[in-house]
Amino acid sequence: MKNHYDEPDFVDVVPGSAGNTRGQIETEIRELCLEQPFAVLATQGEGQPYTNLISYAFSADLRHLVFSTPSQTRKYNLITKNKKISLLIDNRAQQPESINLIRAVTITGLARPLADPEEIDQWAGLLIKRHSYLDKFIKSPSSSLILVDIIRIFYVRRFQEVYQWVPGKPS
Amino acid sequence: MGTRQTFIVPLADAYDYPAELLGNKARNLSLCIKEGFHVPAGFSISSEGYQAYTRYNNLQQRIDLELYRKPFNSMRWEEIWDVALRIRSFFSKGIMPAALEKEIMSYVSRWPSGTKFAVRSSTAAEDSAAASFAGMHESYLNITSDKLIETVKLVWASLWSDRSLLYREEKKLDSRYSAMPVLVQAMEPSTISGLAFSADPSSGQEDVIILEVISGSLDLLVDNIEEPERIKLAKDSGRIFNTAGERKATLMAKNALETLWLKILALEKIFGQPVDIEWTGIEEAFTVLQVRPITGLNSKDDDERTWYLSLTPDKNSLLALTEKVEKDLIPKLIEEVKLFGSEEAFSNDNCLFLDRLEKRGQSYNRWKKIYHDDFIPFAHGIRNFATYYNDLIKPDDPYEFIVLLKTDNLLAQERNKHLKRLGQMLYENRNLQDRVSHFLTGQDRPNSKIFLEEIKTETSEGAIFAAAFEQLLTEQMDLYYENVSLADDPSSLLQAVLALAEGSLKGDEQPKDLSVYKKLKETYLEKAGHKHQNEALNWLRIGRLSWKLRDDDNILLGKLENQLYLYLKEALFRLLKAGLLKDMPEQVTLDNWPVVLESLQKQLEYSPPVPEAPVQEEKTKALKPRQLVGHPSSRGIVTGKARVIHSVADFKNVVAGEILVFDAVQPQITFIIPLAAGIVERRGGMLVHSSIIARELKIPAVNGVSRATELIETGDLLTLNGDLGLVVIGEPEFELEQAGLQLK
Repeated sequence: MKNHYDEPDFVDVVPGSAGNTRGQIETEIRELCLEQPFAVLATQGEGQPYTNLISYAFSADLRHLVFSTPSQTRKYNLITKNKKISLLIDNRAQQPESINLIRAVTITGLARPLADPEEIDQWAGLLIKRHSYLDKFIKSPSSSLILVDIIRIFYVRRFQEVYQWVPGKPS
Repeated sequence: MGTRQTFIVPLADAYDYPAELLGNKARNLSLCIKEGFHVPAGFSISSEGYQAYTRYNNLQQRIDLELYRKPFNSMRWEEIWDVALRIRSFFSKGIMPAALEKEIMSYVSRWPSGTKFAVRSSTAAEDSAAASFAGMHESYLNITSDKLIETVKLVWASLWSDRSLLYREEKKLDSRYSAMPVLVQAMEPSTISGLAFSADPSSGQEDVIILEVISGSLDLLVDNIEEPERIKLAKDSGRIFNTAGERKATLMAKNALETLWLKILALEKIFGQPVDIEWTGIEEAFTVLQVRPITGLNSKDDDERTWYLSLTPDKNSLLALTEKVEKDLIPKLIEEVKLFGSEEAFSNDNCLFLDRLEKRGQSYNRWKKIYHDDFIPFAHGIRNFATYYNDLIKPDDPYEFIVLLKTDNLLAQERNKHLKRLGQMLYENRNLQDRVSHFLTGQDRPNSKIFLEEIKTETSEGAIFAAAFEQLLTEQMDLYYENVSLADDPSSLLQAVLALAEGSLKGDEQPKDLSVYKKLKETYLEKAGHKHQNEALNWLRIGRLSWKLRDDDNILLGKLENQLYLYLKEALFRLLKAGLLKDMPEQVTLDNWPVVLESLQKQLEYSPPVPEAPVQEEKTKALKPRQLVGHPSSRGIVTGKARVIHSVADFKNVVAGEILVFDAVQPQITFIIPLAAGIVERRGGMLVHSSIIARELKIPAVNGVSRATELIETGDLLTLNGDLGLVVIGEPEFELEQAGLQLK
């Protein structure tokens, strides 16, 4: 319902400038997830939430994420008991000046330690490619690779604008 | 802390400092002083002073939150104005750091008490060779020392005015890193003033000098109060061109003109390119007020920008426009609406019919242009009043001024009162109410016109109701809106009346609270003081008139358009009957009237334009909005089902208590607002019609939500936060996560 009187085109909004078409949002989520190196991992045990910083790598379709942890850590133990996890990835380090330029995703998913050598090979390769300096840590027999199947991604930008995206879900 | 900051620099030394610190205006004048020109004495408050102020008051973070909550290009000018108003309010209410204030005031104490000052913007971006920013930022003249600090804050705030924000956007300058140095100079008496261009800025001709001269001080010229004398000189000889239309110089003696000519040449030489000079003087003693390179020689500003600037006209052109709109345009518009309405039904005489169609078409074209040229700029009178009010009162709520503008006699309010009376009739007669309700919920409901005829014959109350309803249709709903005439669809109106009767409508738009109004007006006039009483009253008059006009003009023009619509529809019927049109088109396009007229005149075949199908983004379940951001335009929090309004046809499905989601709400259709539990609108701004009504009815509203009608679907559960400007879609749930767990 556009009224031609009140809205001279040039001072009205530029089409597409809100940047909230499906394509624009998905691109922004993809960029953030693939460019950031670190995430906050939230696990839980005995009703107690517990968070860690991890180095991660995403699969290209954003349906899986992989990270590595020594198997005696608290987070490893918690995951083996409860696979429901959440992750936070954000670019606040690049945007300390403006809260409106900070972007973040909150991810929900299911985490499991990988056991199958073929799977381990494939995912370790992806993680080492993203964090080559961690190759020793990742390949260490005391480390375990954790694969997360992503269920949902909540994307936050401009302080309070929120979208939810289910990667790989057919339109 | 690190090295000591430079807050104050004497004007004479300004050229030794970088432009980032003191700006170009100060540096250019300082250079003139060094070269021996007379310049009024003064000092600069550096960009570090600006930064100290903004840091002390956390303004950068506040600006960031206001300005970047939406992408700049996705904000309408009205939203940008709102942002600028809030930022201006932050600046004027901020506290000047004591050290900075002390330094400024101790410098000012060098002048004798009673000295008046000019306080002017001087940024690194303005007055440069690349961009002039002419007229973008504020300058204040004749400021006494007790008002100096407050005035400096306002000049700083003008860095964030809607005009300079739009200008920076157009020039692709990043607002985020802007800072504003300020130049303070003692005012000097003058008997003659003017502008000088050492090349013709309109033609780009570089062998001439253009002078604009007035007697008195320069602000009379800059504010368009006095028409200047225009003189064209040959640059090489200083001789006056006596071309047609150019008057002889009468204000300047020959000697004075020659002195000025030499000074202009000298200044152009110093700056190494054609310059634009503001000067003032007494006889032959000239003072330079400003020098800057002429920007954009041989390039014209596009019309859109000129038009935008005309939207914030100065007081004098606004006063003239007020007279024109009030005494000439609106009476003419009302007269035309009346005349067209009084003409009997379509004439069978084809010639007479065509003549009337043409008259309506021409009238539509004429008023459309007047709307653009006069009404929209006049509607901006509200903004001028708001700025005047806020500078004077410094209220906590920057929208307090609205109280003084409200009137009880808007055409839309008259209509809403009429609707309320009809609702009351149904409320008092249960049988009639049931009858209407039954009609509206009935599966195969007959045409509402037939229904009205029916109830007329049933009871005397029914007859009274039907007559009053028909009166509403013919007198107040004869409005064209978005391709339909509102009178064409009485059932949605009947729905609104029924909802009123059922008590689901909120009350009237509250009548103006006279005691609050009186108190605010008293304070307003008191603050203005005796000396500025007339000025304050004038602004109030302009504000009130433009408030009324911006509502009424839509209604009046809607009536005028309705006349053209009815005639066009009839013309299409006649074409159809004559076999010159295949089918009646779904939409009647007003702008197409000349083609329809010609087809009927010359009996030509007519094929209506095919309406463009809206580009719909493919709907997807994979990506859903969860929380959308807009502007908090009416306070309160509410949860309810969404009803997306794509066209007037959606009105009849509205259930009281739903949250209505609009692209834009015009005064023609505001009668639907009281049915809503909340309002979401794509069009943003604190002064948009729906938000004003929502605030009165205490219905939460969020506007400026980009693509609202595309992203939200009818039936979505919405939670509106009218305090923060948020729209939450759906409930916080983990259904997918629960389901996902079972799958693994």
